[in-house]
Amino acid sequence: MELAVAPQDQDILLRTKNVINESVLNKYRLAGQVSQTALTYLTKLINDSYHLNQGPKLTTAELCLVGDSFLASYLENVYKSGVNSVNEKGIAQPVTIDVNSVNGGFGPEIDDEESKNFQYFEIGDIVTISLGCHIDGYTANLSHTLVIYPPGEEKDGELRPTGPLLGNKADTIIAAHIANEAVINLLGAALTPEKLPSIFNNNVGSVVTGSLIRQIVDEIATNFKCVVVPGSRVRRIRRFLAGQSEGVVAEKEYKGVVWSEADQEASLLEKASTSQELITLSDKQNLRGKGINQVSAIPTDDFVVTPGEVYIVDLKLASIAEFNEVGLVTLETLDGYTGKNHDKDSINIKPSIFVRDFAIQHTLKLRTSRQTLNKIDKTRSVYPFKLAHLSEKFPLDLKKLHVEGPESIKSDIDLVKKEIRNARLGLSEIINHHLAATKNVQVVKFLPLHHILNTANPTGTHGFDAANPTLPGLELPLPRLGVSSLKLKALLKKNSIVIPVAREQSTVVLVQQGISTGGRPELLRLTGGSKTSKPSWVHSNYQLDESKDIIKSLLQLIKLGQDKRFGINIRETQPVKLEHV
Amino acid sequence: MPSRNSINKPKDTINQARKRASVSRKRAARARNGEFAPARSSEASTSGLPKSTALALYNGASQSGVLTTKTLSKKRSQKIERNKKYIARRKLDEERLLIDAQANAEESMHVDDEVVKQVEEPKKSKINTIKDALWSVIEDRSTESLIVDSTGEGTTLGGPSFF
Amino acid sequence: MYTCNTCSLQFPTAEDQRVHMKSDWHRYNLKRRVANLPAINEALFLEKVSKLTINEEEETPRKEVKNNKQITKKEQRRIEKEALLEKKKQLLEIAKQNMLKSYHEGTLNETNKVITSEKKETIVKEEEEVAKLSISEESKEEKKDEVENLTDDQLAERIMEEKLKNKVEIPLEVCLFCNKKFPYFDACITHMHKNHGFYIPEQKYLVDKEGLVRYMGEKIGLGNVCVVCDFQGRSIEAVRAHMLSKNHCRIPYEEEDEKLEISQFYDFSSTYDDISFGDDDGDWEDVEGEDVGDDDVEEEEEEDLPQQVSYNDGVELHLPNGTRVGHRSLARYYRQNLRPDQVLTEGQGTVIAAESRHLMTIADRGALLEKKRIWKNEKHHQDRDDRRAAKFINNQPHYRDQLLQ
Repeated sequence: MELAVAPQDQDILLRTKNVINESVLNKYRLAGQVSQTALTYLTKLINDSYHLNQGPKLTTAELCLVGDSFLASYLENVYKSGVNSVNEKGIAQPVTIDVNSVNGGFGPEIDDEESKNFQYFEIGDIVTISLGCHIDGYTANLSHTLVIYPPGEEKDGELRPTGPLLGNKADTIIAAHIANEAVINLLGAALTPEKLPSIFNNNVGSVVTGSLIRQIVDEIATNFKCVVVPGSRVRRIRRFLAGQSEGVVAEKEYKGVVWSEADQEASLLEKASTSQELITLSDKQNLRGKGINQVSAIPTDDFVVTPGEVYIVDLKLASIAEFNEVGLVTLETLDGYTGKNHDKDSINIKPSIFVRDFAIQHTLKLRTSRQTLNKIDKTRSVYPFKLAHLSEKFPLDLKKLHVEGPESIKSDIDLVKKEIRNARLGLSEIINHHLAATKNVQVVKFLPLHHILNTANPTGTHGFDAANPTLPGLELPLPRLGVSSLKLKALLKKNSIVIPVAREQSTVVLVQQGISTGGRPELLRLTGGSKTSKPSWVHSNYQLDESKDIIKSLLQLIKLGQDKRFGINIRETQPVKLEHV
Repeated sequence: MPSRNSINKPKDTINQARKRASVSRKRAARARNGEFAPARSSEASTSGLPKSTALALYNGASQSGVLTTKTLSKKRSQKIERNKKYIARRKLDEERLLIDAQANAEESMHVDDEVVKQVEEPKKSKINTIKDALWSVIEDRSTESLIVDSTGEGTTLGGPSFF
Repeated sequence: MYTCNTCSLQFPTAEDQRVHMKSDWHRYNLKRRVANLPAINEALFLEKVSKLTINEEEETPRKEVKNNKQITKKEQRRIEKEALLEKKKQLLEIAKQNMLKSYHEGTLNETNKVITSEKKETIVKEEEEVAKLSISEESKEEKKDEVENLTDDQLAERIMEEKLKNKVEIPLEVCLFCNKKFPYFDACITHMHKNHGFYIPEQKYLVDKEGLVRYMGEKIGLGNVCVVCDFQGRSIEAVRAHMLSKNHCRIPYEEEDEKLEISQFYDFSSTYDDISFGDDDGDWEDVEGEDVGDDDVEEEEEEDLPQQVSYNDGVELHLPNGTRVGHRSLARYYRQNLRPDQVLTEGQGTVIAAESRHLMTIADRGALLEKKRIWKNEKHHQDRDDRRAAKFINNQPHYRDQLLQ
């Protein structure tokens, strides 16, 4: 049996409800505010315990649970009753805290035994906090990368770090930050295209297109000897469609730039291309749109950013400056069994975040699984969830935690653990029948190119990795070399090197003229920004090469973004002060 | 050899051996009596005769080497025969050609032009061209050897504070 | 002014109207009205009647001739007998109708609750005459071809006449079975119940007890028919003897037609609310469970609108209290226990609306089954071969004598 939605309902759900107006904007703003506040809260927790040596030192799993509790308990009190009450609100992205090379999805459950070697951060780690929430489907996600510094020194009556972080980790953080800011400025320029520097004008006129976004991000990345990690994206989001189930759901009218291994392959080929044939081969567009039935579900770069849309800028960058060879930056999925040996340092994590796939229907056999599924469907909307969210004791009482200390909520945590154990039993059946998909934990790896070129690939392009679903059209990671994802996975096992990654994610609303508060069209930055996502103190040896025209124009654009009066109008959502929460 | 009463007695082997023994006994008795062929129902009957008559009796070649128990089928022998015919004919042709060539050479002692062989490069597949291009990228990179560090003062973000 | 709505006529006097109401024309128009057809005028009706009679006259003899050629004498006799029985039955039917009619009239004008037997008799006789006329007409036609039939018809006629002559009016105060007289009706009923087991079913809903008993009396007195079985006695005494000896002194109330026969004396409308649809519409099956949610709402409305009539939309009968009654022929569909429709939340709906995957379905179920059967077969053969091969494996590396163990 297939579910279907009537065309007129489709129109309402996909278009009418996505038109930005006062109430929608308020919901977006509030969601952004909640996310921002949660980020400041988590940053404060980490900062207190690692830098200022105050308060309890929480493990990663506890931080995740506390962060989720913060989001959930905050959201409980908004849009609760009256005319404005909404049916669905909650966590849109469970808190994940990815350390160094982990690309995403590391939010271990409180009872996870495998992650106990990665409970605390080390000095010099870069830590990416990702979270998000939604109110009535209007979503605000964010990610921000922090640095764990060595013990600071007292200066001006305040504890300060002794110096900036250096090295490739610093490169990635800087590149990710600059790229993120640049793209947001570019999106802001889409509201007032006349202010766009003339070099960015393409044959269509002065509009912001997907290929322009890609060009700028790639340029910034090369300046800092970085590579945009596959899975990064700048995409339009809609109500309830915030990219939470990319790869699971083939979303209609996908609008966004997506980076994949194929793009790295293309740029490498561009370097080598001498003959016309190779140039056409390296053309990025011509390989998209093969092997899938729905053209509109396949991401392409030839779209135009228009006012009234909401975008997620989610950029992950990894530095390859340390490698003296050409290679490919790609992702390796960690299942619970990868590298299961006595090596204590190898990351060995079970995925803990899942997302429901509503298109598949199946009557489950076990009673516990049916109960779990019911609970998921009732409470968790369409967004990713963790088993801890299904517990009775969730959200935890954070006031108690801060007033009475961590011992006071120990019994609650034990109860949550117990309930997780029960739900896990049911979940395995749900996963086995594909009623829910796992959000895999992935690490970023560098694979020298000669390994790929030397490999025998008798099966060719056959074989997609079903455990790692990708967006439609991107099933083949290296389409020109004809290397399938399974082959790549096999190659990664032996020959690859783990590299650190920095991630900056923010959600922005392009508010058209008339709806915004100032009357001028403005870009409302829901998450990120100078208040919450201020970059850590880092220093890179590289810099933007200002001799290039494109960089010049880019710097011009960033200046425009800072010019409040005549430039691009960017407004940031401010977090609520923690004392008020 | 296990006893006849054993539970594990190799029944088949025993039966076959017994049968074979009895048959050979009969045959031996006949041979002793001078009867080389068993009694037949008719002249044309071939029952009881060995299946194959040609026991390496191929007479085409001189008998040298070892005698084998391998039998040649009629088909096979015909084939060998036929092939031999072809070989003989080919030899004859070659000889004649050689004679002709020699005659020609003697007639006109001209020097052959060196035959330039067109070595056809195998047409590269699309993937191979791409692979070659990528190899070239790798080679370029390794010839660089020294990574040129960026000049200038670099980039600094953030300030001297925790968050 | 006296009118007839069915035929759209006006009459100066009530007498005229009554006569008209009894006419065949009016009845025919009534039937047409039931079938949602417009009424026809008298001329057209007469024309139709004449046409029909002509057709009948033409057809019947031919049929007879045709049939005669093939039928043996024995069969012919049997057929004649059947025809006779059929006619008898018709007569009985007419008698029954008359009785009912008189009964209805009795209820209609309440002042004339008790109808004199003479009046009833006249009506009955009228009807009978009509029947006789038709029979005699038939017999006249048949006269030309057959002589034997004539006697049969006469026989039937004679029987009918005899019946009418022998007709015994059983008063309400008299026991139906033993002719005992009682001072009043209720005493008679208790007697019949105690001594003969004359149990009246579903007394709760019985509206017209007297009518029911009178009808039973008519059955016995006029038709000389047993109330329970098909037995038909020559006289009322014979029937009574039969009923007493066989203990057939009850009102049959098991089969549907049995229930229908006496349904007019009952009123089950009070039970419609709790949907026991019982006897006068046995053909309908209750499907209340189908929409429990709707019921509450509709029932509330129903209190305001008690006069709302039930209607039939061709598939289901909608009762005024909101219950929908489905036909029995569709029972298997109503009995299906389908999964309730999944109600999607807005978020789920949005995701489904934006979904463009086409999930694979089994293209050809038959082919798949066939393939599966082949696989199963292959596996079976393989297993069998393995089993057989395993018999000849000597797993024992050394000889072990069983006796020495």
